Amino acid sequence: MHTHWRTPALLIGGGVLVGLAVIAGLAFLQPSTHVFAGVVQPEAARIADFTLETSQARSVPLSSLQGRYVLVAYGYTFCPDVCPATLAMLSRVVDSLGPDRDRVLVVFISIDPERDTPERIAQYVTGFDEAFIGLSGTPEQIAAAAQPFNVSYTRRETPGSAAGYLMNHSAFTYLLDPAGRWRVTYPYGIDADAIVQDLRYLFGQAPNP
Amino acid sequence: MNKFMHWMTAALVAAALSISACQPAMSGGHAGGDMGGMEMGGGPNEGKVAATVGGIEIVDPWARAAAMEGGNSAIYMVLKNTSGTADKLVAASGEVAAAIEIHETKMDNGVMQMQPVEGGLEVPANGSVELKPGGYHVMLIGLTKVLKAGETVTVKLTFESGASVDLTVPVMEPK
Ligand SMILES: [Cu+2]
Repeated sequence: MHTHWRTPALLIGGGVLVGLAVIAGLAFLQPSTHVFAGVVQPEAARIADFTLETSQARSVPLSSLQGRYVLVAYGYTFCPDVCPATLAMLSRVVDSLGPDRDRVLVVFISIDPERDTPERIAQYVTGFDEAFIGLSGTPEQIAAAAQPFNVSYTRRETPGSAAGYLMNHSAFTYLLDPAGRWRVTYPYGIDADAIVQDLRYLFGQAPNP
Repeated sequence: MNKFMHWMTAALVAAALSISACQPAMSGGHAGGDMGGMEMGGGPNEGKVAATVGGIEIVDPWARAAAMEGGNSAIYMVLKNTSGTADKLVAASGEVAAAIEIHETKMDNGVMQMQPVEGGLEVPANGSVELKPGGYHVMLIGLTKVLKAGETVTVKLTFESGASVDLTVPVMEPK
């Protein structure tokens, strides 16, 4: 009776041991370099500076945000789901960072300056997180702000819709390091946790002084 | 290396424990007997029919929370056609927004495009269509109030068959 169950138990146990050893071996062989969740810029380079407007008639050069990691996304307040989803994801990123959230700024730039005044875009993004920075400006300022990341945005008339017109726009999120260098590009739909892991890795590379 | 040894020791201990844990369970003859209450389903609202209109079941509707009055939002759901006749969602209306339209968002090579669905959204016979973020949605343009998670909004959906329904939709923060 006893030998009946003992043999399979030992076989299973032995199999588990072999399996765990294989997994441990694989983990051990893995290179220690971090694999980023987005597309890494082959050469981290400082991007061309641009200046936009925030609420309270404040002009903000992008370079003035240096000293922290900056997550930059482009969109517009008229956007029904892609932009809110991105902003909700970014709010989960900063929430997950806990006390380290102060090392990251989230900047959302309107590509619809006609409808999005600096006040409106600021009101919009602070609905997701009090610390988020919403920026807009003149059409010329927006064009200059879209250039460094090659952000595309085009206006499409929609006469049959109360919207009047809608914007097609790229929906990536860009990560700048504290020196203002563009490091990583994340696609729409990326998991907040994936960005958090990248940030934690970068924090570890250059610990907070 | 230290980390690796630590891990390996933990793995061996875990394996040893799993072997010894097998024995009483199997000799006691009640293996598997405790699993009865562990049925794994979806979330609380997963697959719940909120309303039936004509042959169409409206499943799991939700509205995206939106903090800005005058801003926009969207309502999502699954429309399931239990009849052998195709139908279309042709209109939506309600007090919650200045205008309510049926739209489609598409991602093309990282570029987001949104456009109104011309002629209504088809619900195939004995089939279904999903309204979801990044796809089809009932677009709320010019919200007349802030949409807070936990509240509900009411919209009237009208189908090509002529049937319509006043749908109560919970407001949620997306996961
Ligand atoms: Cu829309």
